[in-house]
Amino acid sequence: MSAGGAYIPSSQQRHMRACMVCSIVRTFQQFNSSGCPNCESFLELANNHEAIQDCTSQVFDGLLTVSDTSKSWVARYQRLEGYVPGVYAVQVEGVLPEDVIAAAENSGVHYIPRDGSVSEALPTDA
Amino acid sequence: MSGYDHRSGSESEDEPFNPVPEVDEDDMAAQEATRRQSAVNEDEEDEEPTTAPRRPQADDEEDEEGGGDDEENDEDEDEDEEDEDDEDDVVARPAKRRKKTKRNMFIDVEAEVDEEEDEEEDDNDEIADEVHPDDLEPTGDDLDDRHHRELDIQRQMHVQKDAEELAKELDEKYRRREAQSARRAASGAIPLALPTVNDPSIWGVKCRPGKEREVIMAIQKRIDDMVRAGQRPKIYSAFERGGTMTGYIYVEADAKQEMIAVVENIPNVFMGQAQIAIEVKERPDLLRKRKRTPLEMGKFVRMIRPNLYKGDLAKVVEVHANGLDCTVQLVPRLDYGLGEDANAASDNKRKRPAFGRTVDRPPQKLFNEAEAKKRHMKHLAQTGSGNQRTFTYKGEDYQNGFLIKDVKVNYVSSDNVNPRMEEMQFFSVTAADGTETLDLVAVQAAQKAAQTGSSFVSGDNVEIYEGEQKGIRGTTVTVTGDIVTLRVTEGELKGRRIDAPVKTLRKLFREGDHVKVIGGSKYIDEVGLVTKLKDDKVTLLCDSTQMEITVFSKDLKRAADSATIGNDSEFDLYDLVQIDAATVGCVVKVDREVLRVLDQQGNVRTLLHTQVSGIVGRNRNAVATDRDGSEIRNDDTVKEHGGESRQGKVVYIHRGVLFVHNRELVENAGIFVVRSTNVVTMAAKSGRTQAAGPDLSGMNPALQQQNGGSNAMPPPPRAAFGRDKLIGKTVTIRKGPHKGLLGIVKDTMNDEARVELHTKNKQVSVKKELLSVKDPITGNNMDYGKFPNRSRGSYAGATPSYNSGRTPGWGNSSRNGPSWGGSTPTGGRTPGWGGGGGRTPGWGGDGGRTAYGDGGRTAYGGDASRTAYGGDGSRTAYGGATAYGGNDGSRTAYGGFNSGGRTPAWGASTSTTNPSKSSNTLSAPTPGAYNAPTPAAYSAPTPGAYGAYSAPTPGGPPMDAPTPGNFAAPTPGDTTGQYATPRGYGGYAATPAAAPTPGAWAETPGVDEDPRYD
Repeated sequence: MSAGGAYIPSSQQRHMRACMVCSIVRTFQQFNSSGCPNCESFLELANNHEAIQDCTSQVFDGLLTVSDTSKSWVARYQRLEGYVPGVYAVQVEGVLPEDVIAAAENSGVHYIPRDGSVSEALPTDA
Repeated sequence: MSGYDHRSGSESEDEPFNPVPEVDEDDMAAQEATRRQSAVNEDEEDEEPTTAPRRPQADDEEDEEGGGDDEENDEDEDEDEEDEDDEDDVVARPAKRRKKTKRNMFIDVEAEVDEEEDEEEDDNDEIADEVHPDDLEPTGDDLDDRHHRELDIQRQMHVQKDAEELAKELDEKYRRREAQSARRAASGAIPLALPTVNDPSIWGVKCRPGKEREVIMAIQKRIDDMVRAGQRPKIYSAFERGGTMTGYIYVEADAKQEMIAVVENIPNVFMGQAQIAIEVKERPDLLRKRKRTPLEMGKFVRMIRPNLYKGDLAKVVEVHANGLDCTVQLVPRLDYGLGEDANAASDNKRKRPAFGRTVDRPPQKLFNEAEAKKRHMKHLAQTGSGNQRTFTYKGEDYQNGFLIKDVKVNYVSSDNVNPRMEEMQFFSVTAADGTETLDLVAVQAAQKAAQTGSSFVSGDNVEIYEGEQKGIRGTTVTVTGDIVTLRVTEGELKGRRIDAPVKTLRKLFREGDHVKVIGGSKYIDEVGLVTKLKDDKVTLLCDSTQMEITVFSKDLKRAADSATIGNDSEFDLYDLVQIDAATVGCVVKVDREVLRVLDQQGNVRTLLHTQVSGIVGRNRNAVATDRDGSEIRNDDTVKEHGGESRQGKVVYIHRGVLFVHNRELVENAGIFVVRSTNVVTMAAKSGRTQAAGPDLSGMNPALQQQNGGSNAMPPPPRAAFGRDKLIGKTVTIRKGPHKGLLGIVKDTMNDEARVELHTKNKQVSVKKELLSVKDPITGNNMDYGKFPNRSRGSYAGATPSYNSGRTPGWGNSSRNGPSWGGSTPTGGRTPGWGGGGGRTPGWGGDGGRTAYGDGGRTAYGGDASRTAYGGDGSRTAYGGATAYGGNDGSRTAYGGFNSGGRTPAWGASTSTTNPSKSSNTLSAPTPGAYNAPTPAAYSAPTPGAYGAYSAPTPGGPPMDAPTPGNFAAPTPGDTTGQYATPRGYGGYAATPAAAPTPGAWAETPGVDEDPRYD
């Protein structure tokens, strides 16, 4: 996490956005300056306003702070394992552009929408 | 995947530690951990060889891969259960390992390293079992060097490799990964790590509703601080679920104490109530995601934000690709700057309106270019051309009158939209030929979603119009939630019972069915006859309005009852309502949508309920006067003078307008409007004395006199009606702290006077009755003390002085009737009095009369007669009239008149005047005041005051003289009957002749014939 920690002062909270891939919650400025700490390798959000607009969402629900993504069951359930500690969203609305999904897949990240549209709890057989 | 389920199922049976063996999911994670561990421990000999080479590709998908490989090892694992005793120690280890692999997952070369690592771990396995995973880390660090060396070697190898070969390798690798992803995507989901007892616990902590996010951020801040201080945060995670579980945050930690330590003292966290430990089984529910119903073009939604449009119906025009924004079509709410404060400071940093609902928002209305131009020309720009009338007004786009707005998807709600017909009217589509048609498909789509079982009742005829069972018709038997059980009535399945979801059903009606609208439109509760059916739109002829309306069949039910109209209107028939600032009206018809109101001009207006600002209600004190000057109050019966001579009961009095109700009239529900000056009172409510019968003013002798040209009766002094005569008078105060002080009356109120004292420059308020009027020059008392009291109320004091001034006014009384007698127009009274004269004999004997005399007489009593009156109980009092007679010339005769029948009493009274007064309750004070002053008063000032009277006044003495004369004449008249009275009057009239009372008599006959008398 960046030096200042993941805390977002309340004055900045209205600029919060959540990454559609990893659901980390940061302000637009933070995304713009340092990108997404988990997905930067393929999302390349830093200094890219358009990418931020496309790949992060202002519409999210449930704020979640995780201090230990490996031990926390919540983090595991939210598929946050291996991500940096910080503030995440439980549910992120929005549709990731196709090419971004492809880029994610190419870098080995299987993208599962975090908007509740895919039921994760009930695995169905192929 | 199926292997998973199977295995976990089999294993769960013999998992000793699992508290809920029947829940497979719960087992899985634990079992997985076991498996992983066992794989590392015991199964290494057969597992490692297979897994190790695979791992490089497996990467983050380790679990699954392992799962696949492990299937054949299930039995082995089962036998390994005993090892799980130490699982607690190791539980974190697999996670750690996974984390490691994750970290490396983007580095290709890691594959080799991983293999290496595995071997190492294998080597260290024995240690690992005993040692806490954390302790392993240094070991790893120690080995770092070796890793690097290995890595370098690998790299060198890669470099040496042929580029082509490398490409091939990579290609193969990625293809494989893709295939895996695809497979997984097809399978729908990765199994989620369901919670076990071994995971940290979760507690629900109460917090201030709406502050959940702030609390989470505050916790984050604490975590940040701890990390910065080098401490390990005591909690693993904390989260909130906002709208769904408001008022709670959830904290994940190992121990409650640790959790409390972190959460405590954060603002808006309520630690007062115990924290709820969330059961393992319930934990996934906390993180359940709510599936948002997808927005589609053409769908109707309700606005949530902005506040101005909150709750308004909107139509989705476009859903943006990112799924976050959509464009909606709205009916704008604009006031075009009409509500703006022109003088307000021009800074834009206006204070935000209070949180919550906008108090007053303009009504929904399509955008009007002309309106916008009036005040906001500068904000308006036309952007479209041709048919598309597109404007930009104040930064918003308007198309064909609609506001086209981009909003976030979370600012609209597609749940429970339930559009009403009247809302829908705006969204009607204008066809090329100008006809407007509702986009019924859209309406249907919107309403369909909202349809629930509640609109079906058993016994409804329904049809399945969608799905495989399309076309089946039947009768509903039961409704459970959204499932309706119906008994098929037609076709092959006849008699069978079928369950069908509400969504696929529509109600079936036949032409001629009597139906009732039960919801969904403004026609709710309307009852009518089905005339036309088209799909699920039903046209019916309303019983009440005889209009045809079209509604959806789902909003109908068979009806046995008839319509009840307007049951939800706040207005009732015959309510007096405010239409605008200057107009009121009486409700004459309440319809569902409109009110018919008869306004004060007598016009019938048809108004929407919303156009009526409120009920005025009845003013109980409202008074009007009819054309005769009689007062009219609510509930009086009045009759129109002229015109149609309608009559009825006054229901409302508004200014000079009466709303009169007559049940026999048909139009306007029996209400009509008349001006109060255009009616005569027929009967007053609660027996208020009314001048019923002939107009008696003509009988007023004094009036006649005037007309008759006899100038004996001078025009009345008006003084009583103008300025209080006391003002400017020099007075002494007779009582109270200022007793004895001399002053000048500066102003008067009801019964008080402001007296400017001569002694000090000071004004004091003194009761008028405590003042004696002094002649400023002589210092003599003037009998002004009892000074005309305009409010007829207090007779006692006022009367006498009144008399002097008023006497002449008497004749005049018909004119100033209302003011004269508080209760009775004197005009009327006077004759009555005369009538009394006629009745004189009876009167004398009439105890009841006494009261009468009192009341009516008051005015009268204004005269010296008052004195008499008091005494009225017995005629003696009447005798008091003598004094009266003495009062002025005209009176003389009068007195005589009065005394006609009275003669005896009269006689007595003359002498006993004073005694009678003393016995008089009314004039209790009077005597005191009077006895003494009267003579003086009369003798002295009267002449000065009334020149005209001066002559008659002396009649004071005549009092003695004429009396006999009076006696002589009227007495017989009295005996003859009523005519005596006129004569009495005549006498009165003649009075001006004063002493020559007899002469008066001569005239009497003439008067007598006065037709008006009767």
